[in-house]
Amino acid sequence: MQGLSARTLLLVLACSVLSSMLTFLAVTPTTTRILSPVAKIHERFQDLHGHSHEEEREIPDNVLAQHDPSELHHKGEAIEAERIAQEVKVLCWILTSPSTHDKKAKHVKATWGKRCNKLIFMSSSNDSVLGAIDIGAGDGRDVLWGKTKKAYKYVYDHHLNEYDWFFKGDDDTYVLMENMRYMLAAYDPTFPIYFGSRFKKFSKQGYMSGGGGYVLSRAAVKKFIEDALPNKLKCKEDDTGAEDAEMGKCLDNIGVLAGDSRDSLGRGRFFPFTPATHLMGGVPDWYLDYVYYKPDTGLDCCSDTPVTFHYVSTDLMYTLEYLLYHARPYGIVHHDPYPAPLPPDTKSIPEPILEKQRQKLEALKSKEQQQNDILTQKVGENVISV
Amino acid sequence: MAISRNFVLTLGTGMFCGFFSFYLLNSTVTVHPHYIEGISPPRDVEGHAHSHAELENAAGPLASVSMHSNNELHHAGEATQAEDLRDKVRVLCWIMTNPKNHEKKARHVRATWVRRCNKFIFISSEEDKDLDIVGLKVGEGRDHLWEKTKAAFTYVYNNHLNEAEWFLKADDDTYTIIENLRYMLSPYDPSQPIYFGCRFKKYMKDGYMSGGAGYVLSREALRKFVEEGLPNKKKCRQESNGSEDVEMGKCLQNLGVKRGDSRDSLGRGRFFPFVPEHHLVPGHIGPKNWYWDWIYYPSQVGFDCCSDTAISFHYVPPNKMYELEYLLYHLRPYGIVHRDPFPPPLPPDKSSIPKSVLEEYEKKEAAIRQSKSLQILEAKSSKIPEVSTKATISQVVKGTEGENKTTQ
Repeated sequence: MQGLSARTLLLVLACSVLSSMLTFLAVTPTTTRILSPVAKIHERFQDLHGHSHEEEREIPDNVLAQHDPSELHHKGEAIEAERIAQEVKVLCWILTSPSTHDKKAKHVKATWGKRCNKLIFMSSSNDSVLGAIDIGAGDGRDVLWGKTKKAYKYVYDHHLNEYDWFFKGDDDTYVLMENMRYMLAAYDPTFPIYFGSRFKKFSKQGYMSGGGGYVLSRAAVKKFIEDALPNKLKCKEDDTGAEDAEMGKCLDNIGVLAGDSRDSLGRGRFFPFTPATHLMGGVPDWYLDYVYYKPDTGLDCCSDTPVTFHYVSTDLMYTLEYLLYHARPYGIVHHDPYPAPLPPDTKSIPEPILEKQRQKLEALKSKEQQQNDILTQKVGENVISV
Repeated sequence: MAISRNFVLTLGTGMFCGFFSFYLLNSTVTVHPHYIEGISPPRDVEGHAHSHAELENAAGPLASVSMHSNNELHHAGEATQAEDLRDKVRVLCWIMTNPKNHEKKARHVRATWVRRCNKFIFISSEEDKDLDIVGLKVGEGRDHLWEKTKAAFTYVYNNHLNEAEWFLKADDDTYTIIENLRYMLSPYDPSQPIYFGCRFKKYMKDGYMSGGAGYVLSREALRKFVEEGLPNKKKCRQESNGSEDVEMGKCLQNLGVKRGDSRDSLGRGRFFPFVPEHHLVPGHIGPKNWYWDWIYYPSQVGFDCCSDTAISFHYVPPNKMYELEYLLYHLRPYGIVHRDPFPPPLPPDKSSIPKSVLEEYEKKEAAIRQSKSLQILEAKSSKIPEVSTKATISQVVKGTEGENKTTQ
């Protein structure tokens, strides 16, 4: 065969390039680096609905007893934490199901759950020992939005005026209640606002990750039940859908402010993954695409006063309890400023609070000015106090 | 069908271009500018290792990991007590490593806990000045660990004997909380031969300390080891091979070095041969695991395993070192202020405590008790109202009521 036409040669070239590229992709293990949009969405879907990340390791049959608070290394340590627990009252309701009452919910209650002012498990069967109620929304991932609506309705009907803030978490969320109160103490529960791990999609203000947990002020719960739920234009009526995204859309539609849950140094406090994942940069690509405030890696990702982590296995729950509430390096005494300084995004802070902060700063400035004036005067009069 | 030269050329060029371009793309693309690239084995193995083989490929991130500054508003002024103890109880740490692990592991130890030692060096068979790694003339591999240990302690003795009171040996997969090490050591006298660690009961009468969990020698113990032990084949194994921790134990026992009880006063351990979750959560260390057969003091799973002032964990992969840094030194629940008694109460096994330390401790306790009762007496006496000497007992008993009636 003599001289193939130029067109044929071009075709051969193109095919060989393509086929060798595909062969390369198939052969190397790092194909995930060159993600296709389809793979991204699938991964995201997996994370949202599959909870497939954490395979359960050994789950203890019984809850683990912890060191007694009256022991010599624990006595008197929680005075400030107890004070703030009376000042900032939080009701926690946790999404769970009968199949995980024993495997997960029980351990939530034995670890961080006991630090809520009130703890309720929203399930599809009652369990008075655990504190779980049948919220009447059925079971399974496709009724989560229905369950969320019913759960908030329940707390609205039974507990609205007993608590200031209403937190929603999963049974694989780990929460530091003291830090939630620490962050919330600067805010007013009569103002409609909510906090969580903020994502930027689906609505103007974005929404808060469901697994990372989110907390609504009393006023926000009231608005949600009274203004949003009855109005199908504001809030999705049927029970399907991603509960966190739907919540975000509803709250955005009725004017609830999406708060900035970061600390004053811009480090996150609510997290949809475990500490190790956020610290070492192991977050999936979709997270970096969704996240509202750009995160850092290394220890800069995370505040010293974080509130939530997610995909926390039972193992990890007990390990975190030990490392955060028991083990400590001797002689390191933390002095966290109270109230907590405000986060960087002033657009997400209610105006009255910004006004209060301005007034405080003004007062400080004028005090400083006064002191300076006195000093200048003294120097002027040649009075030098040694 | 004859294939033309042009055809073959085009095919070849096309395939070469395709492969080469994707190879380049693959090796230069990073997943995201903010990712820290890491090389780690699957999660299953890494976080739950029970042997060095399982951690063979564990490595930390290539880039350095950001830390919170000590001057930040949540950290300023937090370490005054710890720093006070740092000057009084000086610890030199030497970390056993090897050339394969300089970058993968030693670097991450250096970036995390080892900075808190008064002085630290890494011991390997190759030097690396940037990472503070000393190269000694020793072989590599498990058959040379005892040789390396002897060489390391000799090096420390020759170069740094007077820079510290206590000398810690750890692996490059040990995580150590140095403040708690100082806390535990504070009642003891470094001029007495004693050593502490995770005590195992096998192979010798008094047992020995696990190598991986880390062990710490007093200055006198180190002196005896190098001056009296090493040159004497009756006391210390002369060959290069052998389990370094077992041989160390035998040698120190032959030299009369006391085995300390490293538990806290509630009998909870402080040095651990595994990561925290393995000791806390039932099911990781199964009932047939060697651990239960080897551990000297009674030990349990659950929160009673572990002291609030725990000192070390082992089989800690590099990524987990950063996680422990964050969880122990940074993350805190607001409003929980720990008040650990100082000096620390002594551990339960009194036979493991030198007499002089026991006596000293009892003296201190007595002094504290005395001052407390004095304080109570003073408080009581300041409450007795001023009465004249002619007041009757009943008037005194009536207190303020009697006060006005007593002037005569």
